Amino acid sequence: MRKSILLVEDNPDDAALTVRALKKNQLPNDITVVHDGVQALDYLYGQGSFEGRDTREMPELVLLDLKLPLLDGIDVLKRLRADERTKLLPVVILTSSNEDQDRMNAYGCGANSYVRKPVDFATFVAAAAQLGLYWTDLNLPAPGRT
Amino acid sequence: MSISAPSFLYAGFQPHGYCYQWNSVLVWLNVFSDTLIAAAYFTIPVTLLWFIRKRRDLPFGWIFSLFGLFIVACGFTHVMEVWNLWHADYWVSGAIKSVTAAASVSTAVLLVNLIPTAIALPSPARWMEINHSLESEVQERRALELQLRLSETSYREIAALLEVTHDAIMEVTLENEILFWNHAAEKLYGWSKEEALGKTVHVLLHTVFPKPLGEINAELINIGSWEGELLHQRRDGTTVVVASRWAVSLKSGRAVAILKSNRDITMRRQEEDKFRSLLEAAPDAVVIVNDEGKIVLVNSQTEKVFGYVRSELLHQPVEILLPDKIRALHCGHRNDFFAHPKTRNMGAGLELKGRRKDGTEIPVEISLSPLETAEGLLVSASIRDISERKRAEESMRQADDKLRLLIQGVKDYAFLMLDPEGRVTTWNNGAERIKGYRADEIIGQHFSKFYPAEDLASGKPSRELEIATKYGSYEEEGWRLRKDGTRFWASVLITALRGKNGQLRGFGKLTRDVTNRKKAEEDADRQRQEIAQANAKLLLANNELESFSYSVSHDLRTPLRTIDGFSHALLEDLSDKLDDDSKSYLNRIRAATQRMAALIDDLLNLSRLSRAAMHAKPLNLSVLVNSVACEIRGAYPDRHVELRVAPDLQAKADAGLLRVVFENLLGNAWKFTAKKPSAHIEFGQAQVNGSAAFFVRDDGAGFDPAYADKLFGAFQRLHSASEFEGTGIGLATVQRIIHRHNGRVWAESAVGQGATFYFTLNAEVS
Repeated sequence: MRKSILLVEDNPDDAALTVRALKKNQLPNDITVVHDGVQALDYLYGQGSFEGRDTREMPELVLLDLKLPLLDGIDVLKRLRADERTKLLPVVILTSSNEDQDRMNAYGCGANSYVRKPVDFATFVAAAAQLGLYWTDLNLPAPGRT
Repeated sequence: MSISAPSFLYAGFQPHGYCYQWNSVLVWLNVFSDTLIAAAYFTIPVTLLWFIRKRRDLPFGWIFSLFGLFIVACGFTHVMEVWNLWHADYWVSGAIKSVTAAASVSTAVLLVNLIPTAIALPSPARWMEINHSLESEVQERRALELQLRLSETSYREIAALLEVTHDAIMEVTLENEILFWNHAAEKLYGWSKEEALGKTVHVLLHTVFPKPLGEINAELINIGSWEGELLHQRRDGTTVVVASRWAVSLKSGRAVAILKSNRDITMRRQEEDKFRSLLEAAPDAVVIVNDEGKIVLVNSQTEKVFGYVRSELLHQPVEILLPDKIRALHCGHRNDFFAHPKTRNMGAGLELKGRRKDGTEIPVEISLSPLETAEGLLVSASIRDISERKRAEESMRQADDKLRLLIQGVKDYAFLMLDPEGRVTTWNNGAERIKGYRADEIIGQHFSKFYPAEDLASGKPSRELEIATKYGSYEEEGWRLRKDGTRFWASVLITALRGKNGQLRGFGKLTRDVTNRKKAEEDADRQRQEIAQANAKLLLANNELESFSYSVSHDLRTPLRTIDGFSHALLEDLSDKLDDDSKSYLNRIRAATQRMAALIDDLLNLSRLSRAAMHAKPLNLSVLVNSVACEIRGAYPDRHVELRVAPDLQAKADAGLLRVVFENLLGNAWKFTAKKPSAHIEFGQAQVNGSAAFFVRDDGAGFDPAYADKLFGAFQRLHSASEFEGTGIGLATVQRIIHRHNGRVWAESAVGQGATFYFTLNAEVS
């Protein structure tokens, strides 16, 4: 079974660059990109525009931007943590902000990690490589999940 | 005839007739004379005996007996003279003479002793006098007897009368033996007539006399009667006080007995004692006056109040206690009172004065009560010295006057009094000044005149009086009207004034014009509101600034990432198609974006430092400097920097913010000494313009002091980026932090001379 990553990012440039950075590292992962919080929940729970998706297949990692249209990153995180199906799902916040408040909120709501997107793409690529490697290869998810 | 005796009869002696040679004439002359003398001498004692028996009252009876004996003895010697003419019984004669001698010598001696006593006996003239007075008394009695006879009262009836009277009546001999004892005496003393008769009265009754009995007797003899109080003991041992009257009982002008009448006054005396202690206990001077205006009794209070001793007052006219000028008038008043005696206060409403012995006058209050007594109508005057009260009243009155003057003179307060209905009764200067009315314009007017129309319509003035009446006072601030119709903001206190019994006497009203204060308060309120509004705006601006910072951090960086990311992608993807120039351009684009990202981060940092909460506490700056320098040294391992840090410099500051300060200042020092092979950096403290300032000094590039004031502006750089890299935010950040510590930061330098950055810290400990 292929390991997959869900990228929640409204900015298509950022999304493209993030996907490029992850791919640069030849991670064999399947990367799904959604552009807002509602889509992210629909995808994960197989509802709305993702009606019929096999929800048994959960991504290894959710990369979640904070600033999102409709439902922002913190709200999405809260929903995920409140739902039995996703409460143990690894979520890494990937954002431009390094405001203390945002960090506090993210960790407070159950984020597994918080990564600030560097402007220097080279640095970003390095960061993406580490992220992907760590969460999809090294990290062992909670038991009971397929 | 022969008168000679036969000689054989008397051996040894011859009869005395031989001495006369039996001259018959001589013999018979002696016989005759001696016989007559003897006869006379024998009769005299008989006469004396008879006299003594008749006059048992006479003193010295024994001397008469002695005289009798001595004279009889003398008689016998003369009988023997006759006998011895014929018989020579000279031994018998001598024996009789010796008896006579003993009697006569004794008599002579005793007589000598007796003479002084005998001399003390009243002379006959004195006796005559006494007799005279007794005679007149006897005559009076005779007249009485006559009267008794006239009223056909028999002696028996008088005797019966003596038995029914309450007074103990007794007759005693001159030796005080009881001769008569009536029924009342039996009752009074407890001794029956049989027991009493023949007893010595003063022994029986244990009499206690007011003065020696001798004096009493002398008075009794001189005057014929005596009156006084005696203490007697009853049979049961109790004591009884009697008013005793004694009179001499005469028979044929001679005193034969003493008549006594004793009245039991024990009860009366007790009552009197009670009365006296009551009188003494009275707080007032009590003076009792008889109908002649003479003082008959005073208590000790009187002595104190008037300064006399009791004896100086008794029997004196009561006017002695009055001031001279009203004495004459008082006699009239006194007579009026005796004519219509009833208990009342004297001279109600008048200022009464009493006069002390020393002539000073004292204010008094007097109440009069008539006393019906056996001695006639008496008046008891109860006199109270009210000097103290008068003084207190006077000082109170003076205090009142002062207070009135004070109130009258007060200018800043309107003080006025209202009657219970609310009409103005007093008006001070302050009231005139504040409200504009003169006293004569407003007194008598209702105080509602001071209230604006809307208050009158709502009945406020009367409501205020109701509240003051109910709760004691009413206090408020509100608009009031001046005479000219203008309004002023008044602070008002209305106090209900009550009399001793709680009845409402009116109101005191204190009013102050506090318009200016009111205005000031309103101004202050307005200012407070303006400040609050400004604060609210500031808060809003702050919030906006925060969301601005947030969007800067988020949104401005995102395009930079896109630019850099895709430039990087181009460089990667087209590396074999792009010439060197193109690659260089793309690299420049990437450098610019990264630089802009750094600027944005620094700006955000600056903004965050300005907003971050500050916790100032005592801090060792020297330790902090060493810690920061250590990190910097680690970042530039190939630099040779000599750092000198003054030890233990202390300040109150936020440790996190001060770390940022030193990161910037030391970082700058490191940076601007980079071109020196061996740099010197120093941290210390110096006195600059009288205040202690910390400094960071380096011997690096320095700067042109002309631009010193631009150093601390954001993005201000005095060196080109190619010369020394940096965003130009560092010193702006330092300044922001120092300002947050109420401190000041400045720099001194010259090009090539190194630079010194000074700062002060005055943070309050949080």
